[in-house]
Amino acid sequence: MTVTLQVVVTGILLGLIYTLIGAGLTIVLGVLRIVNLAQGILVIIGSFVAFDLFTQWGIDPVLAVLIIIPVFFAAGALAERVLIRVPARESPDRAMLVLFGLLIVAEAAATLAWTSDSRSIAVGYANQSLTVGGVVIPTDYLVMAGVAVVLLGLTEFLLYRTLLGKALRAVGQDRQSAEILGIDSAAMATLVFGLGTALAGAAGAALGVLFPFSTQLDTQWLAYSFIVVLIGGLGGIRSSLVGGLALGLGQSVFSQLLPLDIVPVVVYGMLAAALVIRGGGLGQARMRRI
Amino acid sequence: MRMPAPGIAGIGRAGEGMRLLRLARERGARPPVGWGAFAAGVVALGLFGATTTQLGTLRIWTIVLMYVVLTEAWTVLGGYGGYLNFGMAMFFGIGAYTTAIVSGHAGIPPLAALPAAGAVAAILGVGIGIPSLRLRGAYFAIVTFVLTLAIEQLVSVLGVTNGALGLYLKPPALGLRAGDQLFFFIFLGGAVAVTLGVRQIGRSRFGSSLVAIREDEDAAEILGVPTTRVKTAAFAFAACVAGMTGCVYAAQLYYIEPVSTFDFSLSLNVVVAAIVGGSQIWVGPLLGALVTQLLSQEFLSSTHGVEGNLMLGALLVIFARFVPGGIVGFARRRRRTPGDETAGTAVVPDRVEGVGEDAASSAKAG
Repeated sequence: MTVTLQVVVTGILLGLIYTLIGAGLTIVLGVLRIVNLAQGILVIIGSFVAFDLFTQWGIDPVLAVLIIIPVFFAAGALAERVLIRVPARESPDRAMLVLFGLLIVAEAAATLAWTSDSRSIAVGYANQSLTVGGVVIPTDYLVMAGVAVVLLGLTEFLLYRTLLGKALRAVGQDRQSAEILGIDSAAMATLVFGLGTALAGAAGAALGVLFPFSTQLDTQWLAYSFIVVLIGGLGGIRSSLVGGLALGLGQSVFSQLLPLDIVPVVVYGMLAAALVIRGGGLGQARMRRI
Repeated sequence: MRMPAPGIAGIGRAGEGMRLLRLARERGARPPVGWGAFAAGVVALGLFGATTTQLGTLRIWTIVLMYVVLTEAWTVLGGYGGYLNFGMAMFFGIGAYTTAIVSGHAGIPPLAALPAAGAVAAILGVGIGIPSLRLRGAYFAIVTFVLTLAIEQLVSVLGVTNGALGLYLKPPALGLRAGDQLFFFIFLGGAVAVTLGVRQIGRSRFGSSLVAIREDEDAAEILGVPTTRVKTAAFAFAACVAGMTGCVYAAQLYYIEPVSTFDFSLSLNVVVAAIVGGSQIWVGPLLGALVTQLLSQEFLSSTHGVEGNLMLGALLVIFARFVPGGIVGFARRRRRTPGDETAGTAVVPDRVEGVGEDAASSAKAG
């Protein structure tokens, strides 16, 4: 019983952080119809920045998030202006190709900057834990899940409780109509891309505390963020939460039941299956033109 | 090269069918590289391969030609059909492993397993293609990407593939130079055959169907193109060629293991070559593979793969962002009158469809 509860608690905490990776992808995909293939490497770069801030200046990853968010936001917004906007006008696929190129460049640049060695952020509270009713809750999981909840809450607030969020959602629903209503959809695109990038970076800081990371792990985080989007769908933060929790719980359950080296096979296989089954539903993103 | 009567397409949008027909005619005609240059290049490479003593250069060209084969095969679905396939490495790896397993169990030389490698990869291509090609645009690309990861993980844990340790094959019973020459000529022959085949596909009904799918899949469906079958066939073709390439690769190295055999950078190199060259006509992949691979082999073979990847990624960003239609599109735009829409990218902008385009086509027709 305690074991089950343990698995569930770990799964939920993990799931909240996975939601954060997925949320960035969801927002960009939902509003701009662009699959941000660079999501995974952004997460990894977030981890490395948090690592550097921690080892060089002793800044705790929780505080590092406050630095990462504006920096990543600016980088994402700039990339959208210079590289994504024009091809995106032609087709989302072309924008995806550019992002694919950016993913390769960023991965190579990150490898040059930080080498391909595996790192981990050893915060002071990493090995501590809380025991509640026999269930051991690792403090670092709890802290990072807390960070995720705060960021997700803020994003949800921005999207659903502000006029700006309403404008963003309008662009996502129908760009042309939104423009007719006077919404500056180009500015919204920049904003959304910056936001998605910032969330990915913040997720990187959180994940860097929990798991060792290296520049080659970006495909794993990219795949995980796909899973979150595919299970949850494109309904904003709340649907990301469904996907993230499902992934977190699924992973912690599989890790209990299956041999460790089979887990990635199952996870990737599930992802491919989810894509094929749910893909039609997501395909609504592209309206039929006849 | 018959297309359904343009009038049918004209019910909804006058000019659309005409435009597709014209696009279909444009392909295969008037390549920027003439037949003379193509033949001269092949002959020159053949003479070089037969006489050279510089085995290093020979090996570099072997890899370049391998990428010509892969990129041309990729182009049928990726360029004509407009579906991005990030899974070439998956079929390449499947072909390599099929070769190792078949030749190991049957006791035949690895190269004799070529048909088996092609067949297994093609069957897998059909199996993956039927469900995943229902997905459009980016989602298909993601499935091929993810399945590559999944199959690599699977191969690293299975017993029949000897997990992460990999498999040994029978080494070729030839001298060093003769062996290198053998593989060079296999890939030279393969490159010529696949390039001509892809050109022929571009001029066939099959190729026209793929272009119709790229330009407007719903319209193609309504015009009677069996879209799923056409797309799956194109995907299986790429898979089959990649599988056979993997077979030759395995025979050449006679040792394979999951990580380098399912190396995602193979898929990446193919996509970059196609985008750099331009993937809507057979010349594009040929040029793209030559340019990108000669660059990365010639200048960066001394460094680690990182700088090579940096360059390839940057090329992809630059070409996808600034040079639609790749080298071929660029050359055509330079050569033709401005405003010819088939000159550069033929991708139809989603939003401005309709009025402007009809005006453009009727202006040209009249």
